[in-house]
Amino acid sequence: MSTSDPIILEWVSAALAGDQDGFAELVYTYQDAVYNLCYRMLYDRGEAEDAAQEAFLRAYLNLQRYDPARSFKTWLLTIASNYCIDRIRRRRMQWLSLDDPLPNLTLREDEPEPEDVAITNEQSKAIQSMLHKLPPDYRAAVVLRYWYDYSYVEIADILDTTESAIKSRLFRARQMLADYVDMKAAPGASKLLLENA
Amino acid sequence: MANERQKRLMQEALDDALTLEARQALFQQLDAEPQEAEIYNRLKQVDRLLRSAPTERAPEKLALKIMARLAEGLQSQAVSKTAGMALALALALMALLLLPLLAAIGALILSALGNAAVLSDLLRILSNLLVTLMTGLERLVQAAQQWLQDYPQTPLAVLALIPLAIVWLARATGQRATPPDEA
Repeated sequence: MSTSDPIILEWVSAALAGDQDGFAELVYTYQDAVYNLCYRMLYDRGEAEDAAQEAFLRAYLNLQRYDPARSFKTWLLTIASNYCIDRIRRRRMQWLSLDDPLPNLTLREDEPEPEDVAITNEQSKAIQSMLHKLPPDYRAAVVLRYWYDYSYVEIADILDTTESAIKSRLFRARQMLADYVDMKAAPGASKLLLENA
Repeated sequence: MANERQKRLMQEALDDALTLEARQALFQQLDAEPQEAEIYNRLKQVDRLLRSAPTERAPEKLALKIMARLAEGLQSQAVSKTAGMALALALALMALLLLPLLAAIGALILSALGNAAVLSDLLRILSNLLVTLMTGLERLVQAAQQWLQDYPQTPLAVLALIPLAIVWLARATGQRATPPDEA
């Protein structure tokens, strides 16, 4: 786990001393990272904004607990991801139902070409909506892995679990996403499954 | 269908966690088995889509809103701290004022225990107080009976008001119990 830049530590010290400008600098620096995590976890812009605000306020109130040997960004994302997981659990987990409409996906086996950028963007949106179907723990692991490039060990530290648990969550999450993609690629599949149920 | 070991190897290949030899062995196996290759391709597709997803940028005024909420929180904290200190001070003053009274009562009890005449006076005062209280209650009951004779519809009106009072109380309690972030 890497430590923070000296300037970040300086802002943290200033905030701890009661200087709100120091904390404002931290907010400006990390607002995109925190907001993106909240959005990917909650899939609602309004809720994500509220969650990002809450995460920063919690960080401010617990600033004296921050260990300067750790990365400030990782510490902040730990607060945000835990808050989002709690929030999702509170509003009840939503699982993929066969009745739910699946997003439009275009499966292509070849490498993406420049002209496929628009399609890729559509697919990214589709992935986000499928991400929403994953259990919160799986979703957090996927988001931290793909958007923040954290290692298994770092994700385990953030989500307070073991490396093998994170590995397993990521594997299962990718498998679930691949299954969703598979179902969409074969339009008759969901109907067939319903008929056989 | 791919077995668990093959699935694990596929996932590790996506994370670049395989050695070159293990990777080559996996791909040779996938070349030989198109069904497994299809499974790997789907996983790779998901992996590619996740890697290509953009980072969402924070709304323009997010930082300003956070700082405003922080300032508001700190201000209310300061206010509640001041209010707490004022309450503590008031309680201390009250205790200080009550101290002579408590001392006087204590002295009175001690002297009453040692003096039969004072004890009897004290008991008489207490019984007089109780008699006055009982008389007051009796008059209140008499007045209520008189009111019922004059206005016989009063009990019905009171009964009708009970559910309304319950609803009002429930709403008032519910509003107070709702946390600020969910209000």
